[in-house]
Parts: sequence; structure tokens; C-alpha cells
Amino acid sequence: MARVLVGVKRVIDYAVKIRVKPDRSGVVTDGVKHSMNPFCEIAVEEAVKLKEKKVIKEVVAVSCGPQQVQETIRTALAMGADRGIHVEVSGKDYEALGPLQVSKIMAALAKKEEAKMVILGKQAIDDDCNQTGQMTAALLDWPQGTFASEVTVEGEKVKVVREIDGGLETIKINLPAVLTADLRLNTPRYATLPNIMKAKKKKIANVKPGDLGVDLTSRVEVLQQGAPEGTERRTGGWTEPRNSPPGPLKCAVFCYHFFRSAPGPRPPSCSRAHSSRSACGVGFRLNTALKNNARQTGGRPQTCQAESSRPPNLILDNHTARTRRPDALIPARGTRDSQEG
Amino acid sequence: MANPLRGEVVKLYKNLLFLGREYPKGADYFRDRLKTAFMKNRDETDPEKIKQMIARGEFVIKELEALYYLRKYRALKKRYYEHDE
Repeated sequence: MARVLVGVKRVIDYAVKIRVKPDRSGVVTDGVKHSMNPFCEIAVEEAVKLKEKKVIKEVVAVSCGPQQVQETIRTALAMGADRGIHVEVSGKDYEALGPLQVSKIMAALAKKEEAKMVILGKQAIDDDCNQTGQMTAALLDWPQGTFASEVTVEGEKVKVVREIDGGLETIKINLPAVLTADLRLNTPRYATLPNIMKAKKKKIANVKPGDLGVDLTSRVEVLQQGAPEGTERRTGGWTEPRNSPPGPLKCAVFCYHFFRSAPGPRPPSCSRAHSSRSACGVGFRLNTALKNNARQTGGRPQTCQAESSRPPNLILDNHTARTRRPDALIPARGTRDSQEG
Repeated sequence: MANPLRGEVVKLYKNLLFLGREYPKGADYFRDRLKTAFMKNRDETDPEKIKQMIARGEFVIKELEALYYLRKYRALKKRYYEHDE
């Protein structure tokens, strides 16, 4: 049986708070912790699992970028990949490296290595493009199984359960094929220290895009990057309560009204304006109580939404419309300064 | 000091130290706690007891890996799948 090509991308760690450069030309990457894109981890894990089931013989991890991406490849090797390919792209080319360029590289490598399958993460958490897998499949003219949440190889075919809006879709496609991993495909194993040490013995080949006959010129120009609106400070949002007085009392009065009608004991500090669920715990209890109340009365809860804590991700300006919060939400009155404890 | 289990203990410590780099409360916090935990039992000589402690350490490694996985999974779910209930 043949080999599988897995793409891994080095991105800013998911737990790092993203900061945009003051001139809005990009995000701060210097001195920031990087790690493998979580979706790529899932892709690597799936390939290694297939190898453990003896469906395939070899797992090759590929990454494009400067010298540092070798660390990412090393992580993939520690997770169980057999060897790595480092496609050297640096400087200007790396800045302009987009999904199209990467998919050209992946397609060229897939042909060169005679891969039976290309497994990629469905998207990277830095640019959120979600295009590389699809374009690789198009360039190779192979079938694609995107957003895979279950993969079973059956002879020369592969059955893929895909996550689609509102459910799951099962498809059967011919091999060779391109698959992209969704979040629920598997639980990636941890690259432990002994495995990382062992991985240092595995080989990483160095390839230049020119050797593959890939042209890296980009047709996309990034004008500016910025944080989505309203994410400078993550605060809770509140829906306007009915008959509420204007002004700073709004939130407190809302709590008062609400807790008078809500069953159960009254939380201790509800007269205080609060900013988020976690800040004082009241918001959270409020939410739970709202739901209970709604369950009892059979009505819809008067929504009191604590904004999700999605950190400002790298989002281009034209995406902000999607992430802007609904107009019904008004910003919470008091913020962190007005709170004790 | 020539305890045959010494190597294993050191290995365990190294592995835990490596895992601690990703600890949500910070690597320093983790390292301090880790060191205190190991120093507490420095005078243990009974091989049975040492083996038990190593097993416990390995259990902690598993727990930490699970913790990191869940943390990542939850963060991603919140960011990309927050609309499903």
C-alpha cells in the first residue's frame, strides 16, 4: 500500500492573544509562541491511525515556510509520521504564501511522491481560509472529502462522513483522494518528550518550490488587517429589558426585575453591573436561572447573553461584518474597573 | 544514591517538566509545584513505594495530556462551532 501526504502548518498558538501591528500590516509574530495548527494535528493523527491499521504504509509530513517550520514537522514526526518534507519558503514569498501557492506545492508533491491520499486540516486558525484542501483536489483532479468526521478506507474507495450544515453526509470516493479533517475526526495524541527525541532521528528532506516547478507569485494583496470590531475589550452584552429606565441603572434594574421573578435563591451581588460570566459569576447564574425560568413558564428566555470569549483572531477587514455583534446587544455598563473580586 | 529506580524517577521528572511548559497557569507555577512534590519524597527508599509513586506520576501525565486536549478542543469549539447547541 502506498503513502499518505499530510500538510502541517505552523501557526500562532491557539492560546496566545493575537495582537495587531500598529500599522495594521499584519499581526505580531515576533517572540510569540507558535505551534502546529490544531486541525493539522487532527490530520496527522488520522494518517497515523490509518498506518496503525495497516491501511497505508508511510506517512509523510509536509510544511512550507522558513527554517522554524521544521519544529512543526518534528512535532508531526513525534506523533508518528515517518518522514518530513520541508518546502523552503522565506522572506517576501512567505508573507505572500496563500492557500493557492500551498495547494500547488501539495499537488506537485503528491504527484512526485505518488501519494494515495492527501490529508489536510480543514483550515488554519491564523488565516481561516479553508481553501487549501479544496484547491489541492482541484489541481490534482482528485475527488475530495472535506470536513471529514469519520474516514474508512474500503479497498480502492474511501468512505467519508462529512460535517455539513445541520447534519452529516456520507460519501464514498475513489482513491487517490484529498481529505480535510474536521474537529471531531479524532483526538490527536500528544507529542511527548521521548517521542520528540526519537523523532530527531527521522529524516526531513529539504525542497525548494523551484524544484517542484511551482510559481509562488501571489495575486492577492492584503490591504490591512485588524481585530474584529468590539473585541478590544471582551465584555458581556445585555439585551434591553422592557420598561427599563435609561442610564447607568439599566443593568442593575434588569437584574433586580429578573431575579424577583426568577425561582430559586437570589444571587448575592446582582445589583452590581457585571461585565462577563466569569468575572463575578453572576452572569452565569443569571443565564442558568433564565433558562430554568423559561423552562418553567414555557416561554423563551429573555436573553441575557454573555459574549463568547473568542479571542480576536486574525481576521481581515472584510470579514468583520460576520463577527460584529447584533445590534440588539448593548455594551455592559460597568466594566472591570467597577468590580471587586 | 545508586538506587536502580533513580533513572526512572529522573525520566518522569523530565517528562513532567516538559509537559508543564504548556500548563495554563504558567510553566513557573507548574515547576515549583512539581519540584515540591518530588522533594517531599526525596528520602523514600522502599522500592515498592517508589514504584507506586512513579505510577502516580504517569497517571498525572495522562491527566495533563487529557487536560490540554480538552482545553484546545473547547477553545476551538467555542471559536468555530458556537452556533450548535
